[in-house]
Amino acid sequence: MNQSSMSSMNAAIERLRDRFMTEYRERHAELITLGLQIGVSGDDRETLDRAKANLHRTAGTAGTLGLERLGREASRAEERIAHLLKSEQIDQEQAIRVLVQFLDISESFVKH
Amino acid sequence: MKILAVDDDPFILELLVSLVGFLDGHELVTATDAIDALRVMELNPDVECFLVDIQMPGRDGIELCRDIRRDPRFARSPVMMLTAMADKDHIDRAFAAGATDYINKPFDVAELSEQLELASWRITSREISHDRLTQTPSGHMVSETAGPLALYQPFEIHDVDGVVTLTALENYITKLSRNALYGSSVVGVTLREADRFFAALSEFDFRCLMADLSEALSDELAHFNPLLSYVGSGTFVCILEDGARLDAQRFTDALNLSIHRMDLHASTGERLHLRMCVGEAVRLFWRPGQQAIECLSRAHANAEAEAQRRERDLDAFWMLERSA
Repeated sequence: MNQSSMSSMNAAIERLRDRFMTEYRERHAELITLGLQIGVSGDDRETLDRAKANLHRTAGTAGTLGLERLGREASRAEERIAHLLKSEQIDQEQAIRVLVQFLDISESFVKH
Repeated sequence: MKILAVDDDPFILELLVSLVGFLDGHELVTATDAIDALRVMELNPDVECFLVDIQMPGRDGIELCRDIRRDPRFARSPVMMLTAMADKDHIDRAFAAGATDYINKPFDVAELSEQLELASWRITSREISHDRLTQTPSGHMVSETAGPLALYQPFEIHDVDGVVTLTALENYITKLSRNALYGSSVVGVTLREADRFFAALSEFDFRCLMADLSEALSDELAHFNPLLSYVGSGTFVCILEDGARLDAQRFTDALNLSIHRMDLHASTGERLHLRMCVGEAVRLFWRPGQQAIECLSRAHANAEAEAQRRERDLDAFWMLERSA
C-alpha cells in the first residue's frame, strides 16, 4: 500500500472509530445492566456468557480501530470472566469486581 | 484476487471493505456467519482467499474452515483466521482444520495487506507453474507441477489428518508464542534410501508413496496431536505436543510395522520394502519466530543424518559378516 492509500486508509479508520464509539455507548450500557443482574435476577452463568460475548467483540474491534487500551482491557476482562465460568460455582463478588474494573476504564472512553 | 471475509462484527467487515478497496487488483465479498458464507461461496465460486473470524453465532470459524477445505474448489485457497482468540487450543484446531495462517485481532492493517499480497503472489506462482492437485489411488490429493520433480522438492499432500502445507506449518510455528511452544518438539521422519526409491519409481508413484507414508505417520503419531508436512527428500517434519515423551526406537518399529502391513506396491506391481527412521527431536522451548522455523530445518537434517547412520551401520554389519 502506498503512502497516499495509507493516509486514506487511516482517514477511513478514523471515521469507523467515530461510528464505533457511538455504538459502543450501547455496549457499555448493556454491561452495566448485566452487572446489575448478577446475583439478583436470572441465571448468573447466562448473564456472564453475555458479558463475555460483549467484551469479546470490543476486544477484537477496538484495538484494530486504534483504541488499543479499550481493546486490551476488554480482552483481559473477557479472559477473567472465561476463567470464572470454568468453576462450578460462580464467584459473584469476583464477577462484579471484574465488570466494575472494566467499566471504570470503559467510562473514560464513553465520556469522550 | 477475490476475497471472502466472514465476521459477525460489521465494523471489522467495513474496515476490510475499505482496506481491500485501497489494494490494487483485489475484490471483497462478505458474510456475517458460517451459513451465510456457504451461500456466498455458492454464488461466488471464483473466491480465491478467505478471512475467517472464529467466534461467530452458530457454527464457528473453525468448522467453516473444514467446510471450505471439503469443497474441492477451495481445497488450496489461503484461509486466514482473523480472530481475537489467542490461546494455543484455538490455534491448534484452526491449523488442523486447514487454516493457512492465523492473525490475531487487534490487527494492523498494513500487516494484513502484506499477508493478502503474499497470498495473492502464492496463487499466481502456482498458476504460472501449472501446479495442481491430483488424486492418488488411495484417495489422497497430491500437488503436481508441469516441470519435473526433484527429490529435494516438497509438494503438498491433502486429506490426511494433521498433514498441512509447509507454508501453514511455518505460519503455525511462528504464530505460537514463546510460552505456548513449551513442551512441543519437532521431529523429522525420513524414508531410508529415498534417493533409490525416487530413481526407481515414476514421479507420480513417488508422490503416491509419500501420501501413503504420511497417512501411516499421522496414524502412529495421533496421540501427540501432530501437525506435519512433507519437506522433500522423502522427509516429513512433525510438530508434536509433549514430544519429549516420544520413544524414537519404539515409534520407528511401530511405524515400520504399520507400513509393512499397508503392503505398498509400485504401479508396476513390484512390492516396496520400505523403512523409515526418526531423527533426534528438536525441542521448541523458548524459540519464537524465525528461530522456530530454523528448528524445522534442523529436524529435517537430523532425520537424514539418522538415515545415513543406519545405512552405514548396515554396510559395516555386512563387511563384518564377510570378514568373519
